[in-house]
Amino acid sequence: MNSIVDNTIFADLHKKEDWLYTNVSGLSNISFCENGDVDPSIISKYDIAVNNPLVVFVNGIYEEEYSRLSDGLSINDPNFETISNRSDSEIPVGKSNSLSITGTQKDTVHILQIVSGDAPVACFGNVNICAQKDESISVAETHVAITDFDHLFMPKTEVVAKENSNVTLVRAIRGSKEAYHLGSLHVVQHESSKVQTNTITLGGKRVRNEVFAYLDGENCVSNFDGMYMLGKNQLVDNHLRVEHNKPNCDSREFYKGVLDENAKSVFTGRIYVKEDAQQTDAKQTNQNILLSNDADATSRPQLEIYADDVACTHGATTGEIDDEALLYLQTRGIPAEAARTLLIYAFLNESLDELADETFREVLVEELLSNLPGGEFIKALYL
Amino acid sequence: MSTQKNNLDVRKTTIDDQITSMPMPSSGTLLSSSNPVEEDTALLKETFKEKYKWGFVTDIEADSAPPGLDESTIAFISAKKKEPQWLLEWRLKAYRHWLTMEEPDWAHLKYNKPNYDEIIFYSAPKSLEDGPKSLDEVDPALLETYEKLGIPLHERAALAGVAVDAVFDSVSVGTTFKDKLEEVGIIFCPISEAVHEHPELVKKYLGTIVPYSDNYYATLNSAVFTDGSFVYIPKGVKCPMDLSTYFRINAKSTGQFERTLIIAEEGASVSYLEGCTAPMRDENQLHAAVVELIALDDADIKYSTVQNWYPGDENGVGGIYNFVTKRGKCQGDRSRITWTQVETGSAVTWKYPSCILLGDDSVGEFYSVALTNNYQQADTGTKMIHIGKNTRSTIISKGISAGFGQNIYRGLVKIMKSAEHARNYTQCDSMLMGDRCGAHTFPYIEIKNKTAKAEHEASTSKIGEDQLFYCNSRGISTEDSINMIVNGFCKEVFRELPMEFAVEARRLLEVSLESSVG
Amino acid sequence: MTTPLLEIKNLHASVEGTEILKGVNLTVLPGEVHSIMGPNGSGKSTLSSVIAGHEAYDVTEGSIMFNGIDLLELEADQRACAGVFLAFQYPIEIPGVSTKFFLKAAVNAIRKYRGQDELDAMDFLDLVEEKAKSVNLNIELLDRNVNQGFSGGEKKRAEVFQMALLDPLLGVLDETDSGLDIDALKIVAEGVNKLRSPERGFVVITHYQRLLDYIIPDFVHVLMDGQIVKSGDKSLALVLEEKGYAAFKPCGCSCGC
Repeated sequence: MNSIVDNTIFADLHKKEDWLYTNVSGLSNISFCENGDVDPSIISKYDIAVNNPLVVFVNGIYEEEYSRLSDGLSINDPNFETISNRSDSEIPVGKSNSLSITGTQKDTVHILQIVSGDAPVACFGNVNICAQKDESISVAETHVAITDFDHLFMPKTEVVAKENSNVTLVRAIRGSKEAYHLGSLHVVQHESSKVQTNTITLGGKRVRNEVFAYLDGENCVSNFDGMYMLGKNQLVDNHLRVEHNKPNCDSREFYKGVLDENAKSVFTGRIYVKEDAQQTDAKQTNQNILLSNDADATSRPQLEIYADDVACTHGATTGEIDDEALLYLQTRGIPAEAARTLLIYAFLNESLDELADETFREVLVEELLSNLPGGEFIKALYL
Repeated sequence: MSTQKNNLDVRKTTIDDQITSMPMPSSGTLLSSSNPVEEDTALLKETFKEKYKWGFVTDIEADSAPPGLDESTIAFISAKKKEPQWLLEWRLKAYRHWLTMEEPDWAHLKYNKPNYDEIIFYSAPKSLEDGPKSLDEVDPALLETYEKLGIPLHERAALAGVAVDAVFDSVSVGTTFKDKLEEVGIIFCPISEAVHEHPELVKKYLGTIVPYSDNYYATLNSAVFTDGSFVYIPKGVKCPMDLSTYFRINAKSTGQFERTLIIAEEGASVSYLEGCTAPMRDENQLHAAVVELIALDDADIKYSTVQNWYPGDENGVGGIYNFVTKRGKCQGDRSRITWTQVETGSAVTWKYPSCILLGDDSVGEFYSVALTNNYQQADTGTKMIHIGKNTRSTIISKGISAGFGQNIYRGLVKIMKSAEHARNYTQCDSMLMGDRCGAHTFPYIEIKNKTAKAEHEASTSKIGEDQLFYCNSRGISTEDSINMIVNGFCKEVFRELPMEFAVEARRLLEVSLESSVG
Repeated sequence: MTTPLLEIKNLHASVEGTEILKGVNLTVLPGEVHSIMGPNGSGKSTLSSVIAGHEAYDVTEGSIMFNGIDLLELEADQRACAGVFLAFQYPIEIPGVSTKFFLKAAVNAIRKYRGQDELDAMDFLDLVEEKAKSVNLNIELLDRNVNQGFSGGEKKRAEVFQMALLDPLLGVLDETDSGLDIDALKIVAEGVNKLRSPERGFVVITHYQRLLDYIIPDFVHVLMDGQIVKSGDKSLALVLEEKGYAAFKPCGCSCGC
């Protein structure tokens, strides 16, 4: 038993169906401390949009000195509307400084969550977003673990989208490939709201990204997208549940990733269509490219449907790069290796293309290319 | 609950009215084709109104074990079958293991678990006490039962080109065309007989595909299995006729625990069919079978099932619990195993016919139609385990839900590291009829080889009102239109069934859908 | 006096509570071809759907008599058996059901209703071949699933072919000309003309006058806002072509009000 987090629960988690392919039992043996230091230069390194509002947390603690708050942002607001817990998430919930966001945010609010210390740190993150009627909010979260310790970060983000509001959220997991990241996102949508989220995983050793979405009003549009590029010893587990509780909503889950070395990905997406949630249109896709024979991809695209007038589809494909496309590029004079890189990049970049915020997109493309074998070739094309 | 029932009643009355008041095409309207291929899409009108017509009970004196299960029950069964010691020991080993296991609850099913203390694990007609006799000596009451079920056992009247093993509760009544098959070296007999006649084969293969410790129901079956079929196709032999087993549960409170073992040697091929029915009763009866298939180099096994166990009444009372483990191993290179199933019966189905693709270039196929009406539930699908190089698998699953039925596809595609260039294609389509049923899809796709390719597609649809109107406007009644559209939906699976079975399957589908048409 | 083939009186129909048809009157005698013309949204397709018996439309007032029987009492399939045929503007696709099978089901259902013997496979195929020839329909299409993978022209031709095969008393053509080029239009029109007879009547619904160059109507009716506002002979179609529908608005002006 640890004072910060009850880490005994991790020992047997993988015996549960929802965690079948993700073993985080290693966490139960780690003695965590609560805090550590961070080098200020790290913060400036990840402060990629200097003209945008910025909120910095280090090990779950708000850093006023580095942050630039805009109207509608508040820290530790006890009266802010939160979602009552509707999910069956097993990820522990704990105390940390919290950020609340409301009011239209045209300039993307950047949240930088840094975990750092000279010993394993365990901490939480709490972000609550509430878009009131007709408001439009754009948020980008960057989660970075520094140093090579077995840090454990458990960020929880809540999104409430009221009538006719619009929320865009990017969550990017970057930095150290040694840390544990168990994140959850809880979304409640009211009538005619639109929510777009992108979860991008480049860093981390064991990463779990949970999404629980509740479409509680009619005519909602929900896009939950994800992308991952992983290498040695990395695992990502994208776990989604999208509940269509009212008629006439459209939802999409679109996750794609590339796995190199012995990287492993798990995708579990459940579309739940409640009785009488007629005219639901739900799509679910998971696509994987394996670059190595030690890589491993598991997909569980699941449908649970109790209404009859619905259009639900899901698809999953796993395989190598398309040989025909490769050959075509080669016949145009591009060497096989470069052509391969180009195709992988094209595959992943499709999900980055949709990011509304240009600055964040560029940074993520840059990091993606650094992770990609042969990515220098693409970088050269950009110059 | 009472409202639901009323709705059903009202609905039914409406159908009755429609049927009597409307000018309906008479029986065989669409079957008047002289070309059998045309019948591929034929409607069999005359059975549209039929209830579960296989629900009768044969009054026959039975010899049964007392209810409940302990080691003495197993010894009793083993003694009845005059089994060798090794088999009794194997059963006991399974039983002891079973005691340590828990009944699985991961399936998307809601039901009251069977009370194993109340089940009768062995029941056989008295007249068969000394084992199966020649068909001429079989009790006429039994022969009549099969006659009524449309499975005449006298070879003169028997279905042309199909050899039948008929299993009644815990024992085989008889097997047709045995001699004819023996001429080409094919063994087709009850497994209890194979234990005596071909112990070396049974010993070599029994439990090698589904080990005694495999899962709760398979382990139970290993301890108490009674009868079932044994098929051995020698090297290079193409079985000249379809082989078939017809399972019948008759006695009250009994469970049926049959075990089937099919071995196809190098270059051999066989098409095997099974059918099943049971009387209508308010209790839930348990059917926990195990089927093992082995295909050596270039062998080909086609296993087709039309499952029509009693589904319970329209309020969900009674019906069979169909908890079955079926697995085939493509052991040899270029071998092929095809599972085709049409599941219209049973109150609860828990069944995942699987293929282990061990040999290089081996092929596994799974074609399924599952229909759940009223309060039926089916959690069914397959597992395709790719181990050998260039192994290929295809999964086509069609689920139809009506009334309050819940239909679940659950399937695993696992491509191991060694399975270079393995390919899988999966298509899962669901059709919902009515707004109180459910259709669920739970695939598991695990890929560990980069040259492998797996594709999974799924869709959900309902019968469009515009489709119905279009058919109506061409003079086709709503009932016929629904049957036609459902048949179209299932076509890819029916195409895999042998002719007689395809016709039977279509007919069952129509009968099963009857109360959902409103 | 001849019994009218179709007699529509004061027909009001609505869909999901919105009234589309607001008192349509129309009488078609055997042998006559009536054309219904009207702008988009005037209720043309609603009228054809109501005649054929589409359940989405509620008839709130009025009557439709067909050959002396109350059509509104019959289900859609019974109407087809009684001799009403609707050629759809957008023919429906039915996956997995072959056209041949579909048609055999229809032909035999209708023959049964009429007290005729069902056709066996040979006779059915002969009939299909004969009728397919009459509309230049590629017989191979019949092996495909119903309307699946048909081009726009093939779909429309298949509808006319079905009409020939099912031999109705009344043919209702719902914008059968839409999406057809001139050659396809001619073939379709020719197919319809071949079916004209002293016993059979047609209601040809169209947006453009073009089709009426090939299927010459005996009467032309202008449908606007759910009512027939003007009836005349074939020359009315030419007036429409020239002046547009605005001229027939209730106010009589062409101001577009």
